[in-house]
Amino acid sequence: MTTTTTATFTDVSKTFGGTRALDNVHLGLSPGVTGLLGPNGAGKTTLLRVLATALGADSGRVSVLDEDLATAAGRLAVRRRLGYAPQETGFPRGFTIFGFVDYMAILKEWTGRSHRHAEVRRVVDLVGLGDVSTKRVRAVSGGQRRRVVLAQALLGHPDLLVLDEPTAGLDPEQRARLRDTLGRAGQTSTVVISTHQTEDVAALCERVIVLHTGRVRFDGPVRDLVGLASGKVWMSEEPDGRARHTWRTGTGRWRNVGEAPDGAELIEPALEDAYLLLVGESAASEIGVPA
Amino acid sequence: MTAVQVAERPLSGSDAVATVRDLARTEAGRYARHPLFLIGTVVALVMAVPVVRTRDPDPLALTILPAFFVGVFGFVVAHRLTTSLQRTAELVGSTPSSQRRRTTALCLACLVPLMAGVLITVECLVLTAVDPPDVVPADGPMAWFGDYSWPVVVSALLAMGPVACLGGPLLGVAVARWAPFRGSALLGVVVLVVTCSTMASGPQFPWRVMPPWAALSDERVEGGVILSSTFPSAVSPVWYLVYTLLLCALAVVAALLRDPRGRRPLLWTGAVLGVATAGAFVLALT
Repeated sequence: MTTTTTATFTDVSKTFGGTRALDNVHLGLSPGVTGLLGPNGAGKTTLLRVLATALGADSGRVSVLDEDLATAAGRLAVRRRLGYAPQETGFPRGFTIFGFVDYMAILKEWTGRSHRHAEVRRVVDLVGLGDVSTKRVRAVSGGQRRRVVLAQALLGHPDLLVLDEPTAGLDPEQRARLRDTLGRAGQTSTVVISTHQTEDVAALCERVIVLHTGRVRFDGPVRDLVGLASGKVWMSEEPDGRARHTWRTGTGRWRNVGEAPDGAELIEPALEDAYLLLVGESAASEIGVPA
Repeated sequence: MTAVQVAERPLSGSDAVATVRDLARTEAGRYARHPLFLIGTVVALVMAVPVVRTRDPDPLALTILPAFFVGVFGFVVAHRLTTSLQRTAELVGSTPSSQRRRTTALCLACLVPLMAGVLITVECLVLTAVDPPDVVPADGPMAWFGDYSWPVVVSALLAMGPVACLGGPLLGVAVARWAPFRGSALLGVVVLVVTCSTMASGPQFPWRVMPPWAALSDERVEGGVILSSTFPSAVSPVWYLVYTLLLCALAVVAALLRDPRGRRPLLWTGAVLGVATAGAFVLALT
């Protein structure tokens, strides 16, 4: 895989009212699958919307696919190579699944009818909606609608695929299929997904970015983030008050995350443990207390 | 998972005309399937039969059927089609197609109600020709526009029927672009109907022919029987047709102007059309 930078954010900030959604964000994105983690309100959706040309930054510079998003020509050029699935979207009345994806394909300038229909069939099948493609979008389940949005994002093998919480509302089988699809897409394209599901990031992403209060708190390989929790996860028979996070597992024992006491029964950390530690430390440093 | 051959993206995406054409086809299909359009068209087609059978001798009066059931209903249909994409605004906004392209496609889709208006008007003419009005008294003047030339009669028929079917939806697109809030369709319909009905039925010129739909015929009635239909002497139906067509063009320009990019040429076009519309209106009164 090449290490070409697909998108760069240079000191990018975005404010809504008095809330700073992005605070001097500085990062670069490369081909492959990148996961974006962070608590609610961390700025994930804002970052993705800026990346997908749906929102302009207040300050800083965003360059995507060698185009400057500050210019109309740059945004247009990026949109021709972009697949975007926002977190929430409505659907116009009357469209079937096939009809809606076909409409989006037209908007994406697929002008040859036969080519276009073949491509629409491909992406509809890819997300497992081939059997229900003649049903009206507004008549199908929330999970299926979510897949309709994904299908239109996959049209034309975009160079940049921006997906905001793509696995929300999907059952385990659909999530596995989606991971397969995105993994394949990541071999040739830059795929950026925002999610609250750390297991999706662990299973799919080579790289993870953790955002908190609009700032990048971690940017690196998933294994490096997991490594932050090494020696900080242990099991106990009772909840350990010294842990930052503790919960009862299915075995009846307690999993603890934090500074492990001497003699603790340390276990292999998961991405979720590292994420909880990182966000907890960030939150503690925000309010000026020792983590 | 089904194995499907991967289609290649055909072009870099600069073929704007082809995109607008494909979008217009899709929007035309949506328009043609809209329940309000279907109901309006069927009602107008069906109602024309009893109206003619009851011996209304004036085919011009029949044009109110398509004007209302296709034109006014079309205002709502076009408005709803235009605002329906608001729900998908972020998704649609991330595609290379501009709002202006989509607006152009919606305006082209308004050819569907135009065709419906032509169909209903032709139906009225055929029904009237097959079952002509009685002349009272038997040696009296023929009831419908016997002394006027065909261009004049056809102009009046087109202006009051099919062009009204086109103008209502185009106005709906423009209103939806500039006032996309909930209820603006209803408000627009009320304003349109009240304006046309109050101004068009008034005896005073020039107000009578100022609205986009005007009653261009006067009837001579004796003992409750319509003896003849004539055009008001101060109105030129041909120029009124030009006037209404220019109003349609102005509605298109107004709708396209909502997109802030590249407004200058459109503003110039709008200014020229505005002057031409005023000229056509003056000529319609002479």
